[in-house]
Amino acid sequence: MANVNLRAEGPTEFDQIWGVRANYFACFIADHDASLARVDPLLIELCRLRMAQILGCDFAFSCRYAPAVAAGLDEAKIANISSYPNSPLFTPRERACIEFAEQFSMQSSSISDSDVERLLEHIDPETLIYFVKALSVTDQLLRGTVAFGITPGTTAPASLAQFVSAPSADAPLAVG
Amino acid sequence: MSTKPRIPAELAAGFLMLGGGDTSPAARIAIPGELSRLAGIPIASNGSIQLDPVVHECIRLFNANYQGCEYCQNARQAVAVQAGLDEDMVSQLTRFETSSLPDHIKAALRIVDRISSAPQMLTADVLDTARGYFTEQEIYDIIILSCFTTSSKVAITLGVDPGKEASSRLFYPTDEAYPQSEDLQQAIEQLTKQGILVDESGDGFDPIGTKPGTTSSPA
Repeated sequence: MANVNLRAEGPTEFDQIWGVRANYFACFIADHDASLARVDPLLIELCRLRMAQILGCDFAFSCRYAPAVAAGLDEAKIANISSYPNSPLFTPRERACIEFAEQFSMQSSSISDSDVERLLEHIDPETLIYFVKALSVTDQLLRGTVAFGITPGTTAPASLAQFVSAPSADAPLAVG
Repeated sequence: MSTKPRIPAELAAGFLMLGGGDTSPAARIAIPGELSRLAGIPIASNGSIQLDPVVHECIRLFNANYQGCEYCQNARQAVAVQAGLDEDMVSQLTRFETSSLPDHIKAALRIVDRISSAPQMLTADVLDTARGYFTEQEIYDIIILSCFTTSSKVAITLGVDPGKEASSRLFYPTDEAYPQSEDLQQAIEQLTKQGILVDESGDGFDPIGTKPGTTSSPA
């Protein structure tokens, strides 16, 4: 059950709750989508789902970032996301970015110069800028969704135009 | 945490905490002006977060401390100061549970604290306690504001926090940091009718830490 009682019109609980401040959410999600569009979709999707695990956002696993799906998102990686440090499924670049995303999500003020330098061995400085911004909007959306107590749905929210439903265990990937 | 840039100067050029205007990569990722109007300014404009300005500013400053954003920690919203925010309150935010802050501010900060640290720990009892002081819409807005005020994590992580030198002053709603719009202008006119100073031209109070000349709340 959700943590707040207000609802706007919308096809899913996510749409109904975030839609209560429709203008804010429209502005936020425009910035969110633009920020994610500047980075590697596969990379940010892996980071989003790892951050969701850390923040306790079950809802996040009910949908997938459509550009990542279109780019060949591997569900096996998602199934093994918590063992990314040692799993052979993940590249060194993916490991470095997911580890950084974890830090960003848990306590960004603890990120040190050497943490950034280590990440810059895998991505260039301009990409770092866009990557950090994408982590921030992802972090905000996850925190709000958890705080509102939004539960996983069977269809992707209409207001998350860049997301599609996650594949169920016995269904093919839904590609938007 | 760093105020020393971790990205090359040419990529950071033109970065501002609120809004941009430049086309450098860092300026491109600034918080959009309209988003700032809707969530970042403690005044009631069309479609915006609608919280008491003191509560709004306490939430912002609590998160500024939590995230370690020097720029955010040292700015003060003039509307909130006029509504009663003072430096004694600000000094108690970090340890709010054992502070002498009003109970309704403690209730709001419990929500913010959970969302900033571990949102899955935002339990029903925390929300129910807050419902004793706030409407359901205000609870909703506290949650949104708690999320929005984590935006400074970007500047901190990249080492482009402009620091206290850039922010140690009162910010009026007419400040050039905020993109002007018809909605904001209407809200400013409403404040003026209530006797709230909306720019630095008015006489009365100013330096951070002084008691305001009026306690009227625009909320």
